[in-house]
Amino acid sequence: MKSIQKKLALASCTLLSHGLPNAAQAAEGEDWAVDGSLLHYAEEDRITVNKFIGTLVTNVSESDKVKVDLVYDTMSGSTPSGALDSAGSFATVSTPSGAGGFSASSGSTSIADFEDTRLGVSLDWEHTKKRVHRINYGSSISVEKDFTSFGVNTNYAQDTSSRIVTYSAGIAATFDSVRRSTGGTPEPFTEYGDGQSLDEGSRVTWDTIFGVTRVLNRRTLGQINFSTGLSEGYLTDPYKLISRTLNLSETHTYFEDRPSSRQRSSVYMSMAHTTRHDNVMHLSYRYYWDDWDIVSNTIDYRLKFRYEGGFFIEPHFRYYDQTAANFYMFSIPQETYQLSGFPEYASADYRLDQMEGTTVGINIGKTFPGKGKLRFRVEQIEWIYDNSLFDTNKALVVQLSYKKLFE
Amino acid sequence: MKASALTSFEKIDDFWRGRFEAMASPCECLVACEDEKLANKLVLIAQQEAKRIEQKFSRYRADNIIYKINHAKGKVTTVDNETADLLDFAAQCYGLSEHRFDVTSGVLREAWQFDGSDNIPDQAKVATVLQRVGWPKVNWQRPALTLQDGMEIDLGGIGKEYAVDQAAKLMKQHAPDVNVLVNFGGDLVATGPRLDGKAWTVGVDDPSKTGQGTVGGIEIKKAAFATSGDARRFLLKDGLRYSHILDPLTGWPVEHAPRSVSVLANTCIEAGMMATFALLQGKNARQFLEEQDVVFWMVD
Repeated sequence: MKSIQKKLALASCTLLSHGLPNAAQAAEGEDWAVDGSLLHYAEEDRITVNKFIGTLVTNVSESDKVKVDLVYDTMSGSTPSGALDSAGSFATVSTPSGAGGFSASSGSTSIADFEDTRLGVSLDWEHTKKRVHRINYGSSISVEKDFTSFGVNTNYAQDTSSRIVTYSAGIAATFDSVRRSTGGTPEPFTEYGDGQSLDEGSRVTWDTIFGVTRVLNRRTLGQINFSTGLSEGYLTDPYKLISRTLNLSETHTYFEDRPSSRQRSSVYMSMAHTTRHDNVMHLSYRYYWDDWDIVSNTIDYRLKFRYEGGFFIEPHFRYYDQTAANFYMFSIPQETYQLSGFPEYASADYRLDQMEGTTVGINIGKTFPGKGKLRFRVEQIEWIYDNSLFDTNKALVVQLSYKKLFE
Repeated sequence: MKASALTSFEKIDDFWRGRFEAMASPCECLVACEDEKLANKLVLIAQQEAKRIEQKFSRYRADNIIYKINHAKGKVTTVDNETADLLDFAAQCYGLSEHRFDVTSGVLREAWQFDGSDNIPDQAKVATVLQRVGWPKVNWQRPALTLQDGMEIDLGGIGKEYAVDQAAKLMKQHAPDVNVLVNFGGDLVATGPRLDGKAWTVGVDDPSKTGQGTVGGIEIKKAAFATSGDARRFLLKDGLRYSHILDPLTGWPVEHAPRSVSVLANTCIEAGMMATFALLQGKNARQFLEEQDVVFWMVD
């Protein structure tokens, strides 16, 4: 008889990992959990976001769980509009270290100031049937001065009888309406300042996701997801501008225009592994592509070191790169304009440019037995843009969270 | 369910030891912490879990799922998730043991009474009972289970080890930083070292004078250890010792089974199953264990 040790170990591990939640609830009577956190996001000289996130999870019955999320953001600062400043733009670009440059001075169109608050609420209900079937229904609403979003989603997951594999499938619909904070949306390719305004824009996004999660061995879990989605409607950014430079001193600036549909797909793979010393490693890779010709890669790596006293330290590293959208341009080339007028679509939004982003951070925390869990996170993100007027950006993220369990 | 009082609760060296009776066995939990109140609470959590599992899966009760399954008279029984998980596990064990570990073999005790006497049944009696044994005769389609009338399911071969792992997990969940050693009737798991970082020392029972002596000891920090054997239950006839380990394929005790097998593993249920599978191998037990990637002790 050959070795059955690995199979037995896996079967044992599967039994025990699934045997816990209900038994634990029965013994502990853990009824609800509250998680509150404050997040501060600051880009260097740009956007600052302060966020409060509150989550309440409660087990309404042995098989039903309800989760309520509340997010309140205040956002302020300035962001590149895509426009080039009228006077001597190119001269300044070529000598970025020179005096003057593109500071957020008043009168500049290359930087747009903004200030907004956002309130978001979401409600999820998860129902577990015979412990191998889980169905989740969710809805969310988010309101800002210039943006309203409403979404519904449902997700179904099923474990195989051996509990080694979980299959899941989900579908989501999101309905957004977009406007400038002064109302309406600008007519594309009209000159900035002309003030021609259309009704607010609206769009619908459909997303589907299919996933397989598999226990690879008693210390390793693997997951692969495929998702695809389609957005239709107003996908333009009503604040973004694009310039056309006739010569070094004369620049025209217009509102941008984007296609009215975008089809996105991605494949996501992740692996979680517990080492012999009980440290936990997460590694994931995401490949994304859409019909705007943006292709992106994301690699994310976290390694959680656990110490005595419920203390943990988790370094985090993320790398992201993307190609530019096929209608992204630094400005509308004068030669093209003279030959055939405006292109079909054009945007100088730096977020559609070819770029690379790296995140380096650390997450530390401590668990207080029977009381709760305190976490603190600091991350620095740096972006390098290939062809945008402002070719780098840097942000600092600081987050403090506390989770409390109630019996 | 209300936990009844502990048999004892006291400080030994640098840990707390709580004892109680459950699953017809002496149980003890060693808790590596200073805080007496927390240690006591953790032992009570383990006791409560042991009692819960005993109540739910004991075949000696008339108020649980096992009774319901065994008295369904050929009708389908829909089982809860935990029972289904254990049945799935039992089905896997049936395959892994090459059909020697069978949760339907309990009815063989109608033919065999392991009381140390010389009551050896005749072959005809064994053959009759054997017709009601065999996992493949069970119709198990999670969560629906159908037993032929007269067949029985007995999760006793899994329950104690399962309870050890579950209790340890619940204790760990309640106090993630506190290491414990949970020992239910000799099957045990330790979730980490003692307060001074040292290992727990565990004695291995001597089956020839069970409960009175040991054949050796091991040190564990974070591991599980389980022993299977026939120290307490056997038949003697004509100088032959019949082990209480019955082979579900023949209906007779496994011949030349070792007196006891102990296995070290990551979880108690894994250790316990491996030890049981080895016993079921009879005279091939040692060879079987040597082929596995496990640390073991065997007493012939």
